[in-house]
Amino acid sequence: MAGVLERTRIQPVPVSELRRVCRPLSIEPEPGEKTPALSAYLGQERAINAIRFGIQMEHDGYNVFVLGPLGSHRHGMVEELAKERARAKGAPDDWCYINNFLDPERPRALRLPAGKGAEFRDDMQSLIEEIRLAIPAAFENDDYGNQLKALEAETQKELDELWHSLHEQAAREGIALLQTPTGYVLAPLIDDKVVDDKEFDKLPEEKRKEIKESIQRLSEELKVRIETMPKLRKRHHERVRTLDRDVTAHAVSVLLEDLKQKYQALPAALSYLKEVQRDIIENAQEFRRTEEPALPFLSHDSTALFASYEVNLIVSNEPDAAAPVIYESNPSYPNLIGKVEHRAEMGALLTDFRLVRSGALLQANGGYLVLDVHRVLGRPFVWEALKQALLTKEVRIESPAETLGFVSTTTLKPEPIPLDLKILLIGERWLYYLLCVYDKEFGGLFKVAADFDDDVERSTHNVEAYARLIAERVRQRELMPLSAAAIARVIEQRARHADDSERLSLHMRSLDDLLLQADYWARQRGINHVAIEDVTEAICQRDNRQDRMQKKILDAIKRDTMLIDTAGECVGQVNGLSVTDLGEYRFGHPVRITATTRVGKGDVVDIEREVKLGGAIHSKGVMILTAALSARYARDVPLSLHGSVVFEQSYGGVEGDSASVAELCALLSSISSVPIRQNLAITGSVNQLGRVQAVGGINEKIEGFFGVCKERGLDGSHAVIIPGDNIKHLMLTEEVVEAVDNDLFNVYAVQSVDEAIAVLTGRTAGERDIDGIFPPDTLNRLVEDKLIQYATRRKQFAEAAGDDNEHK
Amino acid sequence: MNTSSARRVMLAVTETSSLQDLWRAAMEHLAGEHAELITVFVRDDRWRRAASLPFTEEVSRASGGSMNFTLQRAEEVDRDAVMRTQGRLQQLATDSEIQLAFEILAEHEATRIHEFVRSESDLLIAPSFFKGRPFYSELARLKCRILLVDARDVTTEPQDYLE
Repeated sequence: MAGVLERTRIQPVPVSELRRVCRPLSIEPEPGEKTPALSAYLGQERAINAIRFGIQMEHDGYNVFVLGPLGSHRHGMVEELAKERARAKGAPDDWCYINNFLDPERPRALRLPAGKGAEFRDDMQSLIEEIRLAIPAAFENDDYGNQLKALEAETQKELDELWHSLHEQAAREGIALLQTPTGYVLAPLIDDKVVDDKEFDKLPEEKRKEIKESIQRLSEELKVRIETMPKLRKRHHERVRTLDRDVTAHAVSVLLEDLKQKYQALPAALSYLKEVQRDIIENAQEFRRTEEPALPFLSHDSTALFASYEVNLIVSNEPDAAAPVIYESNPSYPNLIGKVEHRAEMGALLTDFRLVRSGALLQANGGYLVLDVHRVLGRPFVWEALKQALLTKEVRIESPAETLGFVSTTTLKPEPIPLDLKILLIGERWLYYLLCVYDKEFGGLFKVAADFDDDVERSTHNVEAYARLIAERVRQRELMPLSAAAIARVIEQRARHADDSERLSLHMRSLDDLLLQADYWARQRGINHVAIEDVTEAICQRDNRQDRMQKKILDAIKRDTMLIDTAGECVGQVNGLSVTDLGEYRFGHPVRITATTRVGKGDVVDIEREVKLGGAIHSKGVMILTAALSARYARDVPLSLHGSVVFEQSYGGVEGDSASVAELCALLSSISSVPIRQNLAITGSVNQLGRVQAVGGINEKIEGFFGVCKERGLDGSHAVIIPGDNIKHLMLTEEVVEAVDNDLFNVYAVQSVDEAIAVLTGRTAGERDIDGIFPPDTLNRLVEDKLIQYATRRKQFAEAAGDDNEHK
Repeated sequence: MNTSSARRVMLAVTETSSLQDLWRAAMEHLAGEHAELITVFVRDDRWRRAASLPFTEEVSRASGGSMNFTLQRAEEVDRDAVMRTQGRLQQLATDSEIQLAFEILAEHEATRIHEFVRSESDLLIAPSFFKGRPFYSELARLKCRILLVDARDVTTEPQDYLE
């Protein structure tokens, strides 16, 4: 390799740049030094400032959407920032639902100062208990009994007089007043005996006439009396009702006077007390009913009568508390908006104002509500209901079926309650952008985007801050302390997690997992602190738990089921590098890329694309390398090449353009018939000008090829070629770094296709001279000559075909 | 009041007499397991008589409207009275745990009353207002004791409208 390198002048990447090591860090403050607070906010100044801005903006629409990847522990930070502001805001008002006496199906909302809601509810409950005893007692009083009897006696006397006067008058005229079950019959009497028709006919004409006239007259009198009786009855009932009302009013007024005094400064409560008083008096007779019903299940329950005076406290706040900060982890429709419950009674579902329940929106009213957007969107009707509440600035408690007009039965319609709160939605970036594009209302309601960063610059200051962050999380989880070297190891791993030696990952969940697992392994060793070995062990064990597929692929390569060469050379064949992402774990491995070429019409076939196993980005990469090919060589002649490239033994789909430089090198090798060394692997994307560009997963790719070569035996010739722009991303494992340090393995960085092909083939690529010609025996010259040859041959074939047509 | 026990007690009632008063008197005189009680409902002819007059009308208590009081209606009223009285007597008998025999006697069949008398120790209890009735003359000829009870004529009292 040294000879090749001399010709190509490509130097391997220095060991020091393969892994940026962190020096051991002490995080204990010096005596007298103040420990800076809120290291958890490290690297998130943009997002924190945005959240603070959103929280403090009092205007409509300045709700906050907190963007970022899952596991970035935004919830804790968001709630902490909200609580900062909530302390200054103070407790919001309490809310109750009370009976609407004019329209019980529309319960009214009652707003009271913080803490007064519970007090008012309890006072009303006590009042009801007192009234429940006082009213029946008032009606059982002798005084009431006497008054009632007097009224009854008076009316009865009038009725008796009506009856007796008629009866006597009839008797005087010799007429009997007989009662049937349904009425009265007037019949003539002689000697106290009713006269029949024969006896009547024997009477003188005058007597008969007199009898008829008497009966006629008495009949009219009887009808008048019959008409009078209902009037007497009605008057009697009115008198009794008035008596009942007076008795009730007296009993209730005494009990309510104290409460009215107490709530004089609260007009809404005072007004309700007056309504209660009025209603009790109006319904006084309901409260004095004492007889048992005929059927037991129709029992007269006084509890139900008084229930309409209860107070349903739906939002209760302590007067000295801060504004609420609520996180609703299950934002279903009823949990968010509220609901109207029902109770089953004799086969029917009944409800009233006491069964209205508040949701998280009302619980957080006056404060802050934190929601996960994917949960909100994943539950039916919730997103629309949330927007509706924010747009109308009120909460209307009704079922989704009612909102959509599907319910036609009578149900409660509680009075809407004004809404004043800030929503803090937490979600992934792609959801935020989707909502921005497809939901026209979203932008007007969530004007503040708090974008949490994935990583932070690995400056000295930030490294120290990160060390303090680690220490804080260790303390919060009550884990064993980390040694200085262990902290350094964790920081190195965070750079690896960020895929960048110059950045540190801010993904908190994975940091917490690493700390928890390192703590576990330290405890397994029976020591009282976490050492660097424990951190390393945690990383290794985690990889071991997830590397089944990686081991399967390595085994397949080892057993030549998957063909990968790591020695020798071959025309048109190169070791490309691929990364397999399993979510929480990813690994790299080599893939064989082959290319074939012949005379053709100037197309390069991407076989992956042809069979729909290639993604759009991969196809784009192949098109770019085709353009690079045609732009670099034989520009004065038509490209008369037919080429094809493929990922051999790949059946699961290919995406990305990180293999495009490998594919181009395979094509150049095939065109020029110059073989490529198989002890090398290459990754990188290429642009149309032949520039090699950075790609992702660089560490996994290098380690993947290293693993295969190590399995077969490292001999110092194996190496990986990477884009020069990827050097800053290198955070290779210590094993790879050690192998490089011992000259058993190498990493080369290139900037152009010429450099890459030179390393792969050991032949100088060549640059055009002043006449635009590549020097002889250079790879580029060989390629260009072959392409010109293809063009000439193609022209010959075309001319021959044209002659044939003329002669036909 | 003669309170000596009787083997057979006949209770003469009408639709207008107060059953409670009569029943109370009957219970006082009924003694021993072999004593028996017969109730005799004396049917009032007055409904038939009143219905025979073409100008007799029935005035409704509910509406004040009137309609002809026909013989058919009279029989209906009469039948209702018999059934009502029998029902009330049956309830009293059930409450007192005794068997009830119920006979109906029209006022013009007064002589049939003798069929129910077996011996001089039998007792006939009747409302006091029977004394003014032609029917009473037949009762006075019975060979048994007669007890007239001051039972008021309930039809002379107005119904209680203060429900």
